[in-house]
Amino acid sequence: MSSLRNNLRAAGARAWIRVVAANRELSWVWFETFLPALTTACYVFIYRAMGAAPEFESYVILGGIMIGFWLNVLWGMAAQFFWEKDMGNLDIYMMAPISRMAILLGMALGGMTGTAMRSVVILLLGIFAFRVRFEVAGLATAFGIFLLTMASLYGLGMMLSSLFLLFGRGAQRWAEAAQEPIYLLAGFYFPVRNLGFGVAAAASLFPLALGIDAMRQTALGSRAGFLPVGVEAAALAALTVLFGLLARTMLRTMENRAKTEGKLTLKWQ
Amino acid sequence: MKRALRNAATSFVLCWKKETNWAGAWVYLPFALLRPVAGALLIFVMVRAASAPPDYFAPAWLGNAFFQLVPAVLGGLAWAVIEDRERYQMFKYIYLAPGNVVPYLMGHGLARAAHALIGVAALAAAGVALLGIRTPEFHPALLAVTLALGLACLLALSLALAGLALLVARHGHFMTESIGGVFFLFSGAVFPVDVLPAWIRPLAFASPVTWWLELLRRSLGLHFGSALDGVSTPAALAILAGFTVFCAFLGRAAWFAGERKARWKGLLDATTAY
Repeated sequence: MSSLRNNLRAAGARAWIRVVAANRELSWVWFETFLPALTTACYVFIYRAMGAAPEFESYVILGGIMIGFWLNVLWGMAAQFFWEKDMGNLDIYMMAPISRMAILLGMALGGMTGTAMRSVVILLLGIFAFRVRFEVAGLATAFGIFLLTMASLYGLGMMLSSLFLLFGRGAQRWAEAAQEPIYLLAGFYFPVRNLGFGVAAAASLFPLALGIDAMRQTALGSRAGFLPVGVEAAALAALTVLFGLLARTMLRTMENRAKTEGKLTLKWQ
Repeated sequence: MKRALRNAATSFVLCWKKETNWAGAWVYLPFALLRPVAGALLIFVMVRAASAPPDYFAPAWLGNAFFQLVPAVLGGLAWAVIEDRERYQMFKYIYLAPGNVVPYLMGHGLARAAHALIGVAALAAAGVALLGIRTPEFHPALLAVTLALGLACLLALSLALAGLALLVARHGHFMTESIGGVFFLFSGAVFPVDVLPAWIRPLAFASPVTWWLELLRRSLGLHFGSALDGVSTPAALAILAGFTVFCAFLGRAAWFAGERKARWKGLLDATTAY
């Protein structure tokens, strides 16, 4: 019990650092909230240039809302372990009597403020500038799917962070390589079934692909879904459990490997 | 001048090595191509999903291909500041070394441009060889002059961003990505400027990237919308040249203003953690 309390306190403390840092320098509000909304708008205009049906614009807005969460997982959690290594904080985490997952949870929760703000700005842009209409009846289900998606996504983020324990200077490239390719595979800006059944099925291992598809069906009333909502929700629940378990194992394995190979405290290589 | 060029050349080589030697060529090359190819495929799938008209695809594909240079160069100098100051903690030593910091940063920007050119060339080649894109005309002189002017303009703007990066925490990396996104919207890279609401269009006309991409398309005989049809090619070139001169002054002024403030606030060797 005291272990659980310590871990929760550690997660809270790690999250608090993010909150304090965010308030200390507010330039991120502009660069990570308002300007990314303009990039989302760009994809709406691409569809307008193509003369696409208005529902495609709604797809873009929903995808734009969800991109922030992926970037928080990627840069704020997974790649963060690499930065911590370079800054010398990782050694301290390793020595502390707490789980690495508590630290990662703290990073995720602390970064959530900025991510949520970015998502709200894109949502407002969608509603007021692009007249996106949501299916009120499906919003509760969509919210449930959103929570499931977040649980499995953050489990995946913890798994990825274990890989970053081993990376050297290439870490930056690995993180960058997980941006546009993931935007493509997760169907952020189009229904994932447009990738073809085989690719879409493979992409479904990535929680956002299923989550966004299910949310489009429930919140936007899209009939271009890849699988029925119930199947996608069940798959997301299964992925949540799987990634949670794998994250725990991988963090332990990669930590041991990094220790054996002497990479845990290696900087700038 | 000679010393500045030598500094820039050394910095180019250093940045190129930093960018490439973290892995062997067989790992590095796919990584260099992954982002641009995935971004272009994203447009390709959107075109298929929305059944876009046939005349949309070629100018959009090539516009997107050339646009790869914009975020790479625009963020190149700022990223050099952030990486050297926060990660390698070397920035203060560059100040201690003989010579000026600006050529050092320019070398980094040019290396990132060269890095991005790999993606531009790959996308252009894939468009022609795999997707059947045909360019009705080819004006190599116009293409070369436009590329050179655009690159100079982007480097100057990047110097301004580097001045700003001196004053912000390490999330300045997102700053450069976000500003690249703003140019993506206001430059008609993947959709004609005509699609923007009339009240936003002046912002597109005030962006040098709009004119740069328009001239690049004209050098290949491509047409994307009608908003810039009334401007002749020599006039568009003159506008781009004007923007380049203006951005050169702006970049210099913004860099020195940022640098002066950073010195006073003690930010030249600042590191941030959160």
